[in-house]
Amino acid sequence: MKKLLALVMVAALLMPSVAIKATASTPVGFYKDTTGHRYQLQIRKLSEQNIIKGYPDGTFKPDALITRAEAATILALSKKMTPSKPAKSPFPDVSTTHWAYGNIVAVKNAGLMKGYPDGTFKPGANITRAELAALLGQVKGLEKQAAAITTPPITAPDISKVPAWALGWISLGYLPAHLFLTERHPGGTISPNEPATRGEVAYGSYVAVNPPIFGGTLRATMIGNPPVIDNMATTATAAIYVGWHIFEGLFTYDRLMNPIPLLVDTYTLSDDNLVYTFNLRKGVKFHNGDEMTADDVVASIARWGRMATLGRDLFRLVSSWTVSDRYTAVMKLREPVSITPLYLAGTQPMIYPKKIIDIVGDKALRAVPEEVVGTGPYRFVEFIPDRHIRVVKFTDYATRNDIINGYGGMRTAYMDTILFMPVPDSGVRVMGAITGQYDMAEWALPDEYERLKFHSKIQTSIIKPGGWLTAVFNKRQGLFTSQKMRQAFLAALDMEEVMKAAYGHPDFWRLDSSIAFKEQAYYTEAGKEFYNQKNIERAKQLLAEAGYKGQTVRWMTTKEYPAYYTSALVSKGHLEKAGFNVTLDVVDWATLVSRRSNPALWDVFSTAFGITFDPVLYLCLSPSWPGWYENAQMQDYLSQMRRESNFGKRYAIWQKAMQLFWEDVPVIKYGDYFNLHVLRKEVQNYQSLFLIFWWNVWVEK
Amino acid sequence: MTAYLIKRLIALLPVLLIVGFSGFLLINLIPGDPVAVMLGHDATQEDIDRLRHEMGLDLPLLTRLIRWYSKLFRGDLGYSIFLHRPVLQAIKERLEPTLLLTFMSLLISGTLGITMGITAAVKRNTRIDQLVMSLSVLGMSIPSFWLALIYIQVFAVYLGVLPVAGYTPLNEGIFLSVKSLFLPALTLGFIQSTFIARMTRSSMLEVLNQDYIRTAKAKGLPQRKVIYVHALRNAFIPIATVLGLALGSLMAGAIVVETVFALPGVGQMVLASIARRDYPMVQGILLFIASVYVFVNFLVDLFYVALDPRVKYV
Repeated sequence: MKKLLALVMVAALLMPSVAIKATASTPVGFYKDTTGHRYQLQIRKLSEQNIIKGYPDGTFKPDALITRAEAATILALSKKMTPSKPAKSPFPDVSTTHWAYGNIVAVKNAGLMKGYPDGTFKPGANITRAELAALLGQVKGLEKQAAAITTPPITAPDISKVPAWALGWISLGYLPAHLFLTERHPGGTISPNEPATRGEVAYGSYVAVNPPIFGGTLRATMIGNPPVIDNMATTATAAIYVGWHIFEGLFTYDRLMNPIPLLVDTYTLSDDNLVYTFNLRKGVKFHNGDEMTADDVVASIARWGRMATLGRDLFRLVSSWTVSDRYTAVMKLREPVSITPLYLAGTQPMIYPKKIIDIVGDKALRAVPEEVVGTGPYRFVEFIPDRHIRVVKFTDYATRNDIINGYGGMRTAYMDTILFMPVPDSGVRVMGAITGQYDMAEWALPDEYERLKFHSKIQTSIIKPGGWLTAVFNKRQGLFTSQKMRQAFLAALDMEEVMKAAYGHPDFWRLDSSIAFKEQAYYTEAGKEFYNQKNIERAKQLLAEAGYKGQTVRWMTTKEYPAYYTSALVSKGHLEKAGFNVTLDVVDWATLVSRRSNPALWDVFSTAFGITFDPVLYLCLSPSWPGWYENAQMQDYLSQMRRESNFGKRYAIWQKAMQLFWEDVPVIKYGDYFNLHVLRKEVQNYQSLFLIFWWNVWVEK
Repeated sequence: MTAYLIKRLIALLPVLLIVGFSGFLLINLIPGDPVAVMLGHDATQEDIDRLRHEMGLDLPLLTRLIRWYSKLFRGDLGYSIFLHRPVLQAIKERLEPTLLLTFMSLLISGTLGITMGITAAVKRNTRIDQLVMSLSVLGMSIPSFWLALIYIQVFAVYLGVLPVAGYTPLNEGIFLSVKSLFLPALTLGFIQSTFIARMTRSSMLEVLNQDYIRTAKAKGLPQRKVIYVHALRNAFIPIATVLGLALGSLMAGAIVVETVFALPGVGQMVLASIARRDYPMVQGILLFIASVYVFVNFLVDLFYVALDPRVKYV
């Protein structure tokens, strides 16, 4: 009896781990160099259909150029053509024993790749992106539509470089119905005369054969309910995320996080860098049917200037913000602010109808369709707390005609409905994605990555970077007003131990000293000699110099975000070795947020920051954000940067600022972490970017 | 009888007043405030102060308590800070899944618990008895969220017969609704059934040893009649008490289970309301749950008389 019981107990304990057995070998479709690649999903799907293969060394080389022979093979297989192997080769430069011979002839016979006027095929030559567009267009049988296009329905920075013969093909390739072409970076260009890559051909072939699907419902889970649906009223991630499908701003970000116009058509800056004139797009409709005009824009941005921290930052320097005519708004500044478009590209300065702002003022919008009105591709329907937020396709959406570029350019609502569903438990979110009850589970635990990365129903998305883990010093009151104390704290820490304990799986964190991420333009190694010192002796010496007498360090942290607590706990060990006396005040997040604004209550608190789009926007360097960094030198650097618009000069100042950051230690930077999202494989064209969005995404069912 | 009822009902009032008072103090005395949560990561002190003032959160605690009570006596539970609607309305909107879940888990725990308890008592000191009692120890020690995850893994992911989480409202079909609540109800019901099983077993054992049971057996009544008619009815008073108390535990258990299964019920709302310091909401739900609990136990008391004619109302 006892034995039986013990067996039952053991079996019960093992149940989840049996269910979750990991696959040992790498399955088809996964390559060493495609994880996190933009075309990862299409490469995987074509591999699973046996249309493409990688190299024997386990790589796919998605960014390598493709040869005509390879392209012919992919096309033939995608279209399920039968290889044709006549005894005599139609091309003098393709022998009958060429590895792609059968497919090259099949493609020729189908009229897709006819070869060159001199009779050759040039199997080893590359193909240009314009040629790729024509090929894929022919695969789809779009000859008539392509010929009918004389003025392109799309635009792009380099549209003028498109050869006349390819204009129709390329236009079709970027239209929502086909979308077999993607943009190049930097700049979001067509690059028609550049050679195509293997990844681009994989993407294009997949989408040409499996075209975008309109309709259906996407079920995207969230951690919790947003407090309100009003992007100006909160910085809560859930609110911003839902809100920016409904509302749009004057600018948005391109794939590299540079600001690009959205509701603005064009804008000019006066020679003294003080006057911005924003020309708005005409014919943009709000969900209530009204046309968006400069009145709405001025009222909305002014509301943001009153309500949001960044808005107030900018509006301190704005001398006037006025309507100049129905479609033009003018902003006059007291001193140059080089990053004004970047401020306006944020996820908070959204445009609402003026008549709604006149009613609600600076109170948050109520979650009803009469008040939650924007110009976005999706229209708000209902918010049932803890069940879902329902948004539906806005049929009168006025899209831009620039090709898709990151968050901007053309926006298409493919799905009819999106349900944002709060599911608090991360394990349940993931299991729901596995069974297909949900299409997306956000914020999965890194520990689950191993069992999910090769799952046949799932695509994983690692958001890299996701943010950086930090501990913030109270520089207004108490022990850490002393620079020596902060330096001692920093000297004692072993960042690797902290990050490993906090995030576990090595694919989800990295050590790095820069607070601008490696992926960003302002990345710098300045000051890195002070990062990750693990030097207890030096910490002891600095403590002695600071005259520390064993006073208690009150460290506020929370278990609601386990990494915050773990990092504090591990650091506590390091600090105690150096002689610090640390108490952890473990509270819930709401308590932490409310107590941190009172400098009498704490010495250090744990938090993390996401991505910051420009050096002057770092909260941790702000004198008004908790921690209160009032260093005059740092503030001077930042205000120089705010005025300066030349990148080289700004970068030089930023390097000095970062050197100062590591010498003065306003906060501790532990390292970068990455986020894991889990999606069904049916979700197509999802862009694994820092912020999640669902326009331009379709679901195969 | 009527006089007794009125007396009992009046006696409930002070209980509820005390619950209201302690609930108010508890949620208001823990640090943190709703405004900071509402405004997000980088709110400034001035914003926080402005909104606190707008919401009357800068008033002294006693003033707020008196205001709350004065509204309460007019039947007004207050206005939720986050859900932007009256507390009572918010509770009503959330009541359906919670009530249905409680009812289903009570059904499961009652059926399972009583059956297991009777079996164990009748087959006392056999393997079956030991098995039932071991199961009940297991049930008492398993954390509900863990059991919930196991159920999801088995029934939703492996077998694919039930949804992973979420709730289908009754107006979209009673079958779908019951299906969506089956795993949460099984989680709560199984855990609760183990308490009921233990109580049923010991209560039955006591009765089975009495003389009139021996008499019943001796006069040749079939075993089934002896157990279900003669023994069970007499053993049922403590069981009914446990069932009444179970209802309270089930409502409390719903908080965890609703969160795991993402059910839009009162339980998840109370948890979220505590995390974001939605004071009126927490106070309101607390009072509401206490009222249900107290009222159900009052009903159980009344039920005794139907079970046992010797019980009299005085």
